[in-house]
Amino acid sequence: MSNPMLEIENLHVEFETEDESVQAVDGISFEIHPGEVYGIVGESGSGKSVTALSIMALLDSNANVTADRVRFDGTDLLSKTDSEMRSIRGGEISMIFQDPMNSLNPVITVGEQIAEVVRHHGDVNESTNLVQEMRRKYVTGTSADSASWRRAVELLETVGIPDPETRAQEYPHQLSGGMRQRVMIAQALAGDPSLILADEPTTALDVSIEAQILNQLLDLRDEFGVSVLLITHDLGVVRETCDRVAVMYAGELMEKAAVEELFEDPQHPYTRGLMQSIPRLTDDREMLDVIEGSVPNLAAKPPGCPFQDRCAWAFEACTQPLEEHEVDPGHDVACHLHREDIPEELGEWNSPTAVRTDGGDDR
Amino acid sequence: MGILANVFARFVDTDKARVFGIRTDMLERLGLVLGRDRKAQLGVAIVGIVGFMAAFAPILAPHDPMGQDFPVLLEPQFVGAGALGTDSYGRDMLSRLIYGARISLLVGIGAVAVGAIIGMVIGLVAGFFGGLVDDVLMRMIDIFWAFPYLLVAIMLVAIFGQGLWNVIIALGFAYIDDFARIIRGEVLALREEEFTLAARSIGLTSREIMVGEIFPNTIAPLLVMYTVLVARAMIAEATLSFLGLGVRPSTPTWGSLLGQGRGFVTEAWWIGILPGLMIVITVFGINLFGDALRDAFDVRRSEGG
Amino acid sequence: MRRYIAKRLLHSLVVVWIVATVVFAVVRAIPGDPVQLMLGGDATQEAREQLRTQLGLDEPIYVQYARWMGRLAQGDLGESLSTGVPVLELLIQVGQPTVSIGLLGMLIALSIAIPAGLISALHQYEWDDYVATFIAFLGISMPGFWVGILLIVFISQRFEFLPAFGYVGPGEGIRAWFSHIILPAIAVGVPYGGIIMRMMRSSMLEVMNEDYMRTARAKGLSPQLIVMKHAFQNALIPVVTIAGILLGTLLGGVVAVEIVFGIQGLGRLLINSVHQRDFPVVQGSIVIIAVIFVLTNLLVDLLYTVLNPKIKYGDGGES
Repeated sequence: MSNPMLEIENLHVEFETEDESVQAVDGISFEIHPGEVYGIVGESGSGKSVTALSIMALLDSNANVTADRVRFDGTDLLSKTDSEMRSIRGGEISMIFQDPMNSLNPVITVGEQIAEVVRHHGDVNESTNLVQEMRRKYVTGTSADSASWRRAVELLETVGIPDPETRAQEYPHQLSGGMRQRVMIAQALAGDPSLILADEPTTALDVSIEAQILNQLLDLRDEFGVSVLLITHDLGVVRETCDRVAVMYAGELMEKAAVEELFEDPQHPYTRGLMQSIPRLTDDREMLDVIEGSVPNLAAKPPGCPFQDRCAWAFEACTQPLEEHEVDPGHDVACHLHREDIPEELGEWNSPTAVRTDGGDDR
Repeated sequence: MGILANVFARFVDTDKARVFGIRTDMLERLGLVLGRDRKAQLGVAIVGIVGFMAAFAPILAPHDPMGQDFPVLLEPQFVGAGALGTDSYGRDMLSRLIYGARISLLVGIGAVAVGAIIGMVIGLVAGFFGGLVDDVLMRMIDIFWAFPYLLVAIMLVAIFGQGLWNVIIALGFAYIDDFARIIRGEVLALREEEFTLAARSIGLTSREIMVGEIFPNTIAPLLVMYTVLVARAMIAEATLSFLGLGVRPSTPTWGSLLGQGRGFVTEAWWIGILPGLMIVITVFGINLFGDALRDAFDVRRSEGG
Repeated sequence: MRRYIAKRLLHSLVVVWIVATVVFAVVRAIPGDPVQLMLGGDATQEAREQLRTQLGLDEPIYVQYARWMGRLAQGDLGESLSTGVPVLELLIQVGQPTVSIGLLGMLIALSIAIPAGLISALHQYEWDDYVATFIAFLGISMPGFWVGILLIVFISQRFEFLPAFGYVGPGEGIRAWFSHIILPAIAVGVPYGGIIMRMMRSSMLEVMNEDYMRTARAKGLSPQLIVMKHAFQNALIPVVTIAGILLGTLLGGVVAVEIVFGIQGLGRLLINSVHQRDFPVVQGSIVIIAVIFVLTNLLVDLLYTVLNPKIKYGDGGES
């Protein structure tokens, strides 16, 4: 297998507030290969977005990021200086945000928002010093003949925006939600990246637009060979789009597997819970299953597995530190049920119809 | 008794954790801010001291503020008689400064109360009924805008004559539009919220909803607004008094001390500096306090002290 | 756009008309007889009647109102009762120092307060933020006329080229003009600037938390560029509104400051004419101020469209 594009090992992100510290990301590891679409799926507040922002070094100063390793294309990102990070951000690694209305600047034309990325990271020979940029912004506007502008128009066309010359001159509020997200994608492509971090790129969009945008992302992956880290709470999106996926819960990765394997053979009680909470066309269930309880307080997590309080199969060992068990090649599960020495009465937990009747609360 | 209990229950509703419409968590936050924020503590201290001066002026003042007991323009001695000098009539400056706190606070708080009461009624009615009522009322309020408030106050004082209550009313008019606008905005935002719908659905009348549900919710921004405007009204009072159009000239006020001493400021610096300093320190304290309130209640809109 | 301006102008006209009517009524409610004040106590009944007729004060109120409105519609503000000088002429005469001081004061305030607010926001909770915030609070807490007194006591007395008294028109030399208005302008600008600085700071802080600022950082732009290109204009939008609204306050400040500096401006004229019950001058001043105020606010709204592309006045729809 080729060298990974992104390698994360034992990443921790801690937010310090005045009276407590919150473990938003708690020792996660994963890697993304060239040309791969890697999904991280989890509920809101599970630390998915924080993970992406910490890779980009975009978190506020009250966030404390530590890791054994954050390597991008063979180089260590943690040791980069601010200015080195700036040349990577928007260039080799770019990001797409959730809400395209608020994530685009309302007073700058969409063309210029793309063109400025081209000027900073592309190989057009246009000055990006402050004075020149200010002149462009407040005095002359960006010339429609400049290479960066022409590239911006081209990119708008690439992401499927009709009449890109006119659209480039418009402001974000003049575009529809779907078009705005295309602009975000064009902007993310403008620096010719090898990795795109897409944070809930379709959450704010209608379902019909969602499919178009996801297909667009996949096409671009095929065309340009970029890797994509796709962050979502939607298992359906993961199934349609990703090659491999990690399931995140309360700042930790519970299960990592290839997408088909995860859906066919989930090995973590939390993953199973997630799957059962998806409505299906062939459903004969009266009600959707929900996972009882709520996510633990990240400022005071219990020791051991973060899911133990909600897990029907919890037993004594669950308060011990989690470790990953490789159940199949490329399929890792962080759950004590995969230990050799689990109590006998839990033995058949893994059968598809298993329902725990003793101990824990009945469902 | 029953009525009182009812009123009490409306304002101190433990189920909703409100005291006089302010959610108790807001009070807690205010307590937090006051416990931690130096700025807020300074503001409270200043306001406290000035309030104390105003309340106990007869005890604190060493001399009769009206008595012309000293040589005219006596330089400050800093100890004993005429500690801070005298004004141009030979009246003890220190005593007049202490008494000045009364007028300043009274006019500041009173004038804003006038504006608040009228403005709130207009804002509540406009916001709640919307439509034509809203249109007409708010266009009226817009016109308030076009009147330069100080000049209007000058005219009103000229009509009604000088005097404490006339100044309070004249200045109060200037604050009607601020309150009307902020309350209307809050009402419009709150009107759509669930508890209003819920109140309607259980058959409460408009008036009941307005008084019982919406009004308590507007208290936080109102308090912030009120504080900010008291500071402004005190400056306006000082300006009117300075122009000789405030409370009667013989009454000791900081502004009139400055106004009467205007001709002497180059020879007698203390006349130009001391009363002004009192105004600035007091208004400064109130502004600091208002800012702490704003932080505690997280009210952004009413910026612009 | 043109339709919007026309609509706004029409609306302004209505506002000015209402202001004029209210002022007409209020002025007549001022106790005291102008004729009495002009002729003194010992004038004969006959002389008073004659003057009254001459000034048109003997006619019923509604006739006086109709006449005044009629002349107002033609841009004629009437003549001063006491001197017979056309009110418009008087206003132009006194308006010059008032407008000079107001505009310069505003310019000084904005050019200091906006950068200060910007820096303060960027360095939130650092020493320079504290210093700037302290100064701004102090500025907000100072009556403009007192700043004027301070300037006279501490500056004007030391530096002879900055006079503490009077006004000289720009016709008599730009330098002389400037030296006479700079101190009053500072006095007017200090409280105004304090508010603007606070507003700019909080607006900037809000903008820095917007999602699009995170996007700008994610593009790898330099911090300076992020601030100046992506944040500044957005932060300025609410500040412009406040700056416009506060023009009325600024004008009120000018009135008192003029008196401190012994300048024959609008404030002096207004106060004198209120004292003398010189109805046409009082009416004229207030109406003119209302006109200026309404027009500046229209201007501010138009400036708004430049700053904020989301707002396109006029016939609705896109672009």
